[in-house]
Amino acid sequence: VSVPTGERVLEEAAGARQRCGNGGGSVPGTLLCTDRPLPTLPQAPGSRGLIHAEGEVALPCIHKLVAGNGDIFSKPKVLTAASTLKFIPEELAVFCRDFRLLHFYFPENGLAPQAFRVSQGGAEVLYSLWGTPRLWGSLTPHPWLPSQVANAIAQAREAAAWLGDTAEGPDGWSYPSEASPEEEEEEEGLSTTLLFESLRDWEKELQRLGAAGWRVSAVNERFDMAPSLPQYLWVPSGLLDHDLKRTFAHFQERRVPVSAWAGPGRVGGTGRGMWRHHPISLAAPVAAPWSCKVGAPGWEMEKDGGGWKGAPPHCLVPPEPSDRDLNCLLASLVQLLGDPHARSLPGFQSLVQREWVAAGHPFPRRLGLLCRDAPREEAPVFLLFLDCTWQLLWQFPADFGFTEAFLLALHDSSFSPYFSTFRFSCQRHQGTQGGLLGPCQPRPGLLLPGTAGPCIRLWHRCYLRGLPQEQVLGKLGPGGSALGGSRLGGPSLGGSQPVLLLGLGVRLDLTRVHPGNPVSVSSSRDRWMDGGR
Amino acid sequence: MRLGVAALPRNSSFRCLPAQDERWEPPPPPRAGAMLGGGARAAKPSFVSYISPEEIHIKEPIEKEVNPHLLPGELLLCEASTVYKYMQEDGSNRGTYGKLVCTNFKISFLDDDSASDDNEPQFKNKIVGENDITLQCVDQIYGVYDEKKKLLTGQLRKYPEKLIIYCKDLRVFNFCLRYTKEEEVKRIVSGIVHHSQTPKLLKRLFLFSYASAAPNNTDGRNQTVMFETLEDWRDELERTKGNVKYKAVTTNEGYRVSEKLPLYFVVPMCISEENILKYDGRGIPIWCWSCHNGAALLKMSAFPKEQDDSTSQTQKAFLDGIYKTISKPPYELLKVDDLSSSLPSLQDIQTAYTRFKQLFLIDNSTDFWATDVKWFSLLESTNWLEIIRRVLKKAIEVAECLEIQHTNVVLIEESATDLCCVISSLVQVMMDSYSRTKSGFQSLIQKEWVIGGHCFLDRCNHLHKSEKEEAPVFLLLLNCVWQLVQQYPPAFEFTETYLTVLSDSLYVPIFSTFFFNSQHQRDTNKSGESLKTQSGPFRFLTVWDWSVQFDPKAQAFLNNPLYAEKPKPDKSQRKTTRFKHQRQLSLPLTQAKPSTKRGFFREETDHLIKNILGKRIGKFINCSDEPPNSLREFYESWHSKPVDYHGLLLPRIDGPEIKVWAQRYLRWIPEAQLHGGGTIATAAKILDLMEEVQSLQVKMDEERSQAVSGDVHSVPMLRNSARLSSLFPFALLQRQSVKPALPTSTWKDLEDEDDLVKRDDEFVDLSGDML
Repeated sequence: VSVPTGERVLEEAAGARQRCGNGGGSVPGTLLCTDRPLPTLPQAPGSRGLIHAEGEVALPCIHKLVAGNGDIFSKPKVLTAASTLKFIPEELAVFCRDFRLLHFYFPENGLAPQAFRVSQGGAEVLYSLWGTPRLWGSLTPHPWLPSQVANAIAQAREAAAWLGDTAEGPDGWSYPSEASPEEEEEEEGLSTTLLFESLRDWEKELQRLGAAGWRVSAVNERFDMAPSLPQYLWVPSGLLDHDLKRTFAHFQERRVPVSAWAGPGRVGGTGRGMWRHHPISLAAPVAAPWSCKVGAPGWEMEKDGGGWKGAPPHCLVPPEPSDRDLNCLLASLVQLLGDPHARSLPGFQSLVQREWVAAGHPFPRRLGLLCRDAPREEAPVFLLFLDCTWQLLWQFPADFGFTEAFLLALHDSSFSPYFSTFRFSCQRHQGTQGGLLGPCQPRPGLLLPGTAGPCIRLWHRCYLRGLPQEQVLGKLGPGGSALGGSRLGGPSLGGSQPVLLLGLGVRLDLTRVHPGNPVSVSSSRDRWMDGGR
Repeated sequence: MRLGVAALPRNSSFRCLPAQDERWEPPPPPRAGAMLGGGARAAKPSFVSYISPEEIHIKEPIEKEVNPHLLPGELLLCEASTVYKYMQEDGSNRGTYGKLVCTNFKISFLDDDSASDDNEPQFKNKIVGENDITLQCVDQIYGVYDEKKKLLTGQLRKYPEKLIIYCKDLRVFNFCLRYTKEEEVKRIVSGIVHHSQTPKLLKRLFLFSYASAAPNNTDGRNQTVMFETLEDWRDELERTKGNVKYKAVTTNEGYRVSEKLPLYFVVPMCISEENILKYDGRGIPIWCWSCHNGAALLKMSAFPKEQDDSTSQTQKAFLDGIYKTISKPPYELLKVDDLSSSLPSLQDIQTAYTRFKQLFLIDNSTDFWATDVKWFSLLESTNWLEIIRRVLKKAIEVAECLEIQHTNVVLIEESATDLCCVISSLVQVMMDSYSRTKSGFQSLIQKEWVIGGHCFLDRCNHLHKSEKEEAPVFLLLLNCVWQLVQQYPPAFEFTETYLTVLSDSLYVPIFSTFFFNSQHQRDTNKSGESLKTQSGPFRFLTVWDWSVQFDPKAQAFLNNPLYAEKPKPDKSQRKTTRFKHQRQLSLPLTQAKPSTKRGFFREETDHLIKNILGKRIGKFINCSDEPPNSLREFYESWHSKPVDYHGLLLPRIDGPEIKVWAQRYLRWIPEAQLHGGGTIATAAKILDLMEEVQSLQVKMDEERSQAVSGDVHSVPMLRNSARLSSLFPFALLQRQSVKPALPTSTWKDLEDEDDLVKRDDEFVDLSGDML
């Protein structure tokens, strides 16, 4: 079996078949459970697709493992690391957090259960199916133990979760350990994603926003003031570090109000922390930016306040014990509406980096990646944000510099253990840009999303992608329906640029355009997702 | 202008509304004789003028009588002045004074200010203006008495101070009559109610006065096949290659067979004239369309349930004979589908639509936001989308029988003019790419609906004869077709705007198309009057002549610029692909296999005949031995292949794929609009790109080609305005100033008006608390 170098196969079962769709068809292949050391992944020759290949699923992405004996959906047996099987499983279903359902069966040999311990050596374990007949043919047959694989998967999953937990501290991914030097030296400008790990990033962003009256404070550089706040903070320039230090104690988790964003020409910001409950010395400087939060008075407040289904209005946010959930959500949404730069790909990444990663959103806990955490801690706040962003994207497809595929990739990579944050996009940009970047330069101006019921849609390419009919080639997505206007015909259209992508699933294939056929539009998520292949 | 811009947000997007009672209070009318000037408006603080004072003063206060624009044959019946029309959109008391008139064609509000029509919408209907409601378009009228709404029908004893008119095209008009003279109120209210809500004689339809008064010279033959002549039917048979096994008959000339059947229609060759005449055309399979593999879609009107045993025995025997004849070679196997048992009833459809349209008939913004909280559950509870889904599913079933199982399908219904029309039209739209062109679609409607005998008068209740007969069957078809249009835009030559406009035309009584129950009714009424008038028989307009309603510029909105036209030189190629398709999907056309099946079928027929005696004619006969999930397989295998926009087209019918036809249903609701967004933004972008490509091409070919198409500048509307409404082109009919997109640059203007900003900040909190 050819696995990328540096990757070790922990367990495997050949003679497996993966079911496709409801039609009863299946693909033969080998089921593998591997470990894959983190650093090699982006360059790994075997890395297919954007995040993962069709038959691949990262262990943290597994929601549920179910074994069965031909009756997997009627009498499912959920597998955990501790569970031992009392029967010989012939079928294995993997329910993924990215809404895929992988369904395997072992026609030749459903074999005896046998406990199998996975060595704890690798922090990252990858489980993959090599569904191509070519690979299958190259295998040498030996007795396969599907149940071993199942157990290995279940155990490795929990091991991965624990390891991730201990290695990265209570907040898991919150503190990307250190930025690699070459990224630091990357070309500057609007096209770079700022990781907000260095003072320079914070200063650069403040400069871009032209926010006079604010400054970057390094008061928390060693995380000694507030462990969950970023190293660097934007604070009113009138406020000295000395004063700032005194106020830390007044806030829960010592999180002081800091600025999140400044509108052009006018200083604004989103208060962090429970400032309303501590109207202390800071109240004055904080209240000011709050009341004129964005330049156009209150438009966005209104939108945020009433708009987002599911997100409580900002003014009515019940006192959050920590400000790292809904505040992240609303602060980033406001910026998406008001700041065209945030609607470009690097801008959006910087935004997530600043408002979510640096601000300390507890990703693993909220996404339920840490098994020992109480389920009550689980709340898909970040996924809610992605859905909100998708709503904006479908409402304003021409205003975004990235595509739905990007959001999907981001959605799925939330469950991938490889990426501390956006490193993947920095390094993988070259190959996949075509699929992620929209053709549109975000236009200046505010976006006013429709918040009425009819304007809110189901993100079906995300949630329904497990359904066979969603995985269709050459179908026009919802973004393609249109229009008034008159026919464009006439001269033959030939283009140097073969394919243009629009924000929402519309693909304009200019190579197919010829006189009799004014234009063909087609879209396919799968094709873009294949961008890197 | 600065003042205007600064003050805008307050009225538009903030939902802080004046107190309830204040809201209903219009500002006092202008002094008699004086035109409404800027002063009058500025005096009322809740008004926001979007015109700078200078602009207003330029306008001379002209004493001018506003007169309604009357069509030929249109008579002014009553009028009332100083009527105040609220602007629906923001729920405030903004509005305009004007004159409300009622003619024998429409109810019309004449804006006192309408003299300066600089805000001319680009997509304008020439017949029905922004403030016109044709009498047939009125759905319900409510009067408001002391804040209580009451439905107005028939005789009135007390006259309301406010009038709310709900239209069938989902507009809502609010008129305040407080400042109108009492006699005028009486006259206009009873006039409107009488002319739009009480039963009417057919001859009182405006259609007739218009046809006799207007010289009809719009005889330009358009490409739509009208199916009024034998020739048309023969051509259609030839086009679909159905002429081998089916024939057009003249049996119904003089309506000898039935007044419900068209003059000419098509039946299987083997059906004799006696058979057709025997039961007034009942029990006779009537041809709708032939598939490329020879399988045909037929429809049949069922026998009514008979109490008498011997009658039903003979009917049974008759049917038995018919089935036997048409299931012999050369005819294919036969499947019978009784739509009255496999689809929702007309009552269900009517109930669902009545509930559904209530979601969009919104009095004002407050009501909208109040119901919006429950939008999804309300939508679900209407069941309308589920009905659309079931109809689409049925159409897929029929398509599978024709395409894969290679069987003839007979749709059965009591009169074969309601759900039969829906299913047969849908099947043709899905299977015949000609039906996806504009003229093809129009011919289809003509064939299946207008000539086919759909009772438009009764189903739309145009004459207010009986509410029981009302059912939005044709709208159901348009809704289903819209689903296909939005799922596969490049496959259709027309746009959703076309469908919206077509649905509106249902209520414009100058076209004969949707105002008769049958061809017979039309013919008799057309000639009956002819003796009295010198001009000869009426020459009614057909709705397919779009130039009557729209000028060429507006007509452009009906054509899909992204239509993937059939490449002409590739004709031979297409045939081969079809062949391939056939080989892959259809049963082989050998004689042997079907004959074995035929034996099987006979048993089934016997079974069927046993059933007929019992209760219903023909349940769905599963004449094949295929597993029941063959339909699912067909659906999934089709969806797993790339779409051929000129081939078979199957709608996606999984829950989230069935959507609300936003353009038709939400177009008058500004809250549901996206400025600069929605699908129209994508379309605009695509057109931009295409234009750019074209212009680059032109530059490259400059020396060579001078015959570059001039079409490039026929999309200026999409190009020039940077941010269009998602409900374009309809939203343009609304006042545009409601929710402007604020460019970032205006923030700078706000800088030096700190007090304004602060005031608006107060609104911020207010709005937050209200939510």
